[in-house]
Amino acid sequence: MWLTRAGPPAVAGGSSARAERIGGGAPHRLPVPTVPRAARAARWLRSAEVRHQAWGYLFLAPMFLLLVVFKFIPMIQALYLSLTTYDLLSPPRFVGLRNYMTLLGDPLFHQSVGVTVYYVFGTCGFIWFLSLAMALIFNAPLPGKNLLRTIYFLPAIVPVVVYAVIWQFLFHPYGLLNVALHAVGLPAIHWLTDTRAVMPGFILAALWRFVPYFMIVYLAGLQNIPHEYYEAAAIDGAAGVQAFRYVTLPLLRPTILLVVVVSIILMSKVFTNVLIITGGGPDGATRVLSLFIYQTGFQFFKMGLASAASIFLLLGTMTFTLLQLRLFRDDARG
Amino acid sequence: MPAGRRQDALYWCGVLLVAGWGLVQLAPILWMISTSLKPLREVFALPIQWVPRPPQWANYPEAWNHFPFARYFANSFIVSASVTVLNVLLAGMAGYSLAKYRYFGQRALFIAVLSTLMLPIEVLMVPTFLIVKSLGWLNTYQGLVIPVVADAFGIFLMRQYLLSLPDSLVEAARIDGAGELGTYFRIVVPLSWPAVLTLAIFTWRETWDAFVWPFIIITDDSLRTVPIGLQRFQEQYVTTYNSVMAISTVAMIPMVLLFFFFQRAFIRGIALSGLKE
Amino acid sequence: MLRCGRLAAGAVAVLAISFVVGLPRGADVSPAAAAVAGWVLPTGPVTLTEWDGGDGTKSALLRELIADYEKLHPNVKVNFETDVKSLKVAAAIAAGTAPEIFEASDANLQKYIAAKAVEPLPPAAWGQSSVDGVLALYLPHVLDAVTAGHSLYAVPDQLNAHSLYINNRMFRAAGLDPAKGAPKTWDDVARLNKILTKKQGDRVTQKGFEFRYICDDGHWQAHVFHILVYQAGGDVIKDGKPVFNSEAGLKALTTWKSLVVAPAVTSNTCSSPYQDFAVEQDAMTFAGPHVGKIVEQINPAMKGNYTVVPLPQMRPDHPATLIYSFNWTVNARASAAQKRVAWDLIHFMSSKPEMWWQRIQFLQGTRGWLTMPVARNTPFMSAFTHDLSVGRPLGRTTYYADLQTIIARMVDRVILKDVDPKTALAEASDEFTRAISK
Repeated sequence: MWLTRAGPPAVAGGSSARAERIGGGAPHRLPVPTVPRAARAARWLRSAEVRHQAWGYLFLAPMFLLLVVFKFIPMIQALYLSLTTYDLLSPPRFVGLRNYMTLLGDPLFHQSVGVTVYYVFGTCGFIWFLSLAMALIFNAPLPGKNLLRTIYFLPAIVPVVVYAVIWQFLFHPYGLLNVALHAVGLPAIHWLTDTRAVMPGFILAALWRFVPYFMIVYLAGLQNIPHEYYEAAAIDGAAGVQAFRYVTLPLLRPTILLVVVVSIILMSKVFTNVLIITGGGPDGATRVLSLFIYQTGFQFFKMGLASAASIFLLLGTMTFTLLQLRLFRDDARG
Repeated sequence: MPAGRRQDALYWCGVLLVAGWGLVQLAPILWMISTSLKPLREVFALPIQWVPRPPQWANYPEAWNHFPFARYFANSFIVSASVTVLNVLLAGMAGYSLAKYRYFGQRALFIAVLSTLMLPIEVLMVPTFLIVKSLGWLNTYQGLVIPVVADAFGIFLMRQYLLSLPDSLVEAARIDGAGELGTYFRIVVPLSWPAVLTLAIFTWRETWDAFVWPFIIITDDSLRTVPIGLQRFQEQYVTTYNSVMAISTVAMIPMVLLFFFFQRAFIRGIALSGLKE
Repeated sequence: MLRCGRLAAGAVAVLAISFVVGLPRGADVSPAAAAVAGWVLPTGPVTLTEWDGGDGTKSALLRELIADYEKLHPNVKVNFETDVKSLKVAAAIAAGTAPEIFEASDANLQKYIAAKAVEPLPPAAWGQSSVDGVLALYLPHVLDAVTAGHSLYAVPDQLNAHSLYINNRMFRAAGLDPAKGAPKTWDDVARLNKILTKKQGDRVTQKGFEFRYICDDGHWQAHVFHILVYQAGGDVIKDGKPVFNSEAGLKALTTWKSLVVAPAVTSNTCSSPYQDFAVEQDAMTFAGPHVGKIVEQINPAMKGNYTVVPLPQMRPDHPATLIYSFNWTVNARASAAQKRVAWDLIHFMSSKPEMWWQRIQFLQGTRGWLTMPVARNTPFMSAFTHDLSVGRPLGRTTYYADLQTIIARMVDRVILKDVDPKTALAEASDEFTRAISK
């Protein structure tokens, strides 16, 4: 029965990390019907299987209820609004799929999607590797580790308004960034007025803030790996790169999935700093989807259109997330 | 021996590199602090004067007294602490449910939970506002706290961390008769202390810096939080950046302290996990 | 030059006459007079909420005025909330929690009017029998932007026309006299740019004049484009349709291009757009009457170090500039009693122009007080009133926010990406046509 899923922990056998996590086992196999109905039901209710399922639901329920009230209902409303024309000031009017068609034919929306994809993958590609590397460094013995780790983490806790002001200042043509470029013999860049430079600038800013952020996520993942595994691996003669390859990486896989998915979602919703620094310009080069949605909804008073754009955003990130779940063989089946 | 020395040299080079890059990470923060001590006309002055001459210490009391910041900080503390406690508690349990139980519809529920992360706040704002209004929670602490607790990031985070916790430990606890709640609170939580603390620090950070939601639902000055206070320095045509920087510097202190505490507990978490064998 | 001066004198004379004509009616505006004209206020308790988007000094003044009003009317209680940005107003209107009085920019107001979210102004509250009577209390055209059909929907708490601010020290250092050497045309400005722009190597250390580019909700770009199109004799919007893809539009963009120095070299931000002028990087800037105080706040050394003159023109014989405003509006969903008190309160607050000017340098465009000694002795008042008198409102459309981002994008293309102005104009016109058809 369900107890079979508690397989023995796979020690040091990296390739069997998946088996270690959760064994297969039928999730809700029913007993063979040989006894009268009522008794059967009673027994079924008392069975460990049902108790297990019930506790599963119970643990999930409080948070899920909150999500229903404050997330799912608003989401359904947003979905409904995407099928209407709604200016916030007068009641919404149903228009079917018109908003979606409008967006599909709108070059500005296309530009916004392109800009968002650029930003998301431009930042995430770096975040995934740099933050893992940084976490590994800080997981190793290092003098003054606590102080250094705090210093590295500071950018992640700067208030977002200040984050924006700092980078606006760094982007000044005679600011620190260009001083650094000059020091290594590179030409100055007009970070905020050159449509080709502005996105790389924002990506740099995001790395400064979010690499440390995800470093902490990885660090906690690394700390969560029980020592026994490394000890067992050491007995098998695996250390250093080997241990990383056969112990760390497989056991870190859930964390890696977390970082990949969360970073994509977080970056796809980038908003405040872009709003403060460029407001989407020059020539729409930084009008990310979130800004497009904000402007369309609250400045242009086209909430229906904004909702439709956000449904596209949801579809995009959802597709990517499902792809990742499959790619990582996320196997908490239900 | 020479190989060992070379490794040593490499190690120290690495340490220097990490420390050096730390300075690069730190430079913008130093600028923030330096700016908090400058007169307004010099805030964007180039080349940068790192040590303002003379430092305008008066900027701090001036900024602090310009708006009722004692009140704003108290509110921020109340809200951040409540959200953090509730979110860590509920999201932790939900994540545990998704990682360590098997039940019907689990996969779909998990995907549904994830989907709530994907819509930007701009489109959810008005519907959520209406719900909070119908609950009578506008201008209340509940309104500032409960809708914010409903965040799926923690669920996902805890699920992922708990997936790498060996099932054998959970099973052993159950067989010892710890009960389901006991197993979670007495065995699972202490074992995943680093994860719990990570979630706590992230939730705190998120709530401490949140602007849009408190801005929308609060019209009573006595319930405003620090980010709204910061925004008030941005007047229609001028921003007193030195004041913004001064308050921000102060606002970062609790986070930095929290992080220090968090690091020490990190190590405790590891020690515990070693014990638990 | 001479002709130009005579014209300016003529304009001032015309203006002066209109003040005098306006004076009798302007002078009898007081709450007492309003009551005489039959504006009856409820006697039972009334509670109102007012939201204002403004900043510290303005909210202090508003609180004071509200307290005065509450003293005169003990049955009225007003909850006042400051620093309320338009995002919050929009969300509150959508949720039905908007206050009885809120501030709206003229640009947003057209949208609110179209959606019947705001209440038309009752002339009786101003002691007038008709809308025309209220209009006559103000300078010509300053209420155009808050009028729709034959109804008036708001009055301004802040009315700005862009004028030209000049840094005295920087002008004198270049051997120029800030008053006599002030530019009258944009060609003059372009010429001065050559003298006043200083470089160290590649590095621009000082600029003459530069328009504002950064901050792309398009606020400043749209303002400048309106000004230049009006000066070229054209229009931006007519009957809700874009008409800027024209000779005037082209002239506006080419003039604009002739004034570019180094757009990237700026510390201006969306929320601090006068930074460059205040820290004496730019020798000139365009701004409304309220900006002197802001500049002095950023840099106290600017006190007494600037001169304000009328905005440079394209065709000095056809002067034009832009006026824009922030206005008190009354929520259409308020109760009848609340509406009555709300308008009476607005009338009360707007009937103290001298206080608004002395305390926070806001002009509201009423006629009467400009002839009072306090106004006449105010430095640069003639420049401000000149620009108010030749000012025109923003293009009238319920899609103004769309329009300003489209204009900003067009300007970015022409100025920063060197796209041909004709192409950019045609594209922008198409974009706006699409935006209003959505």
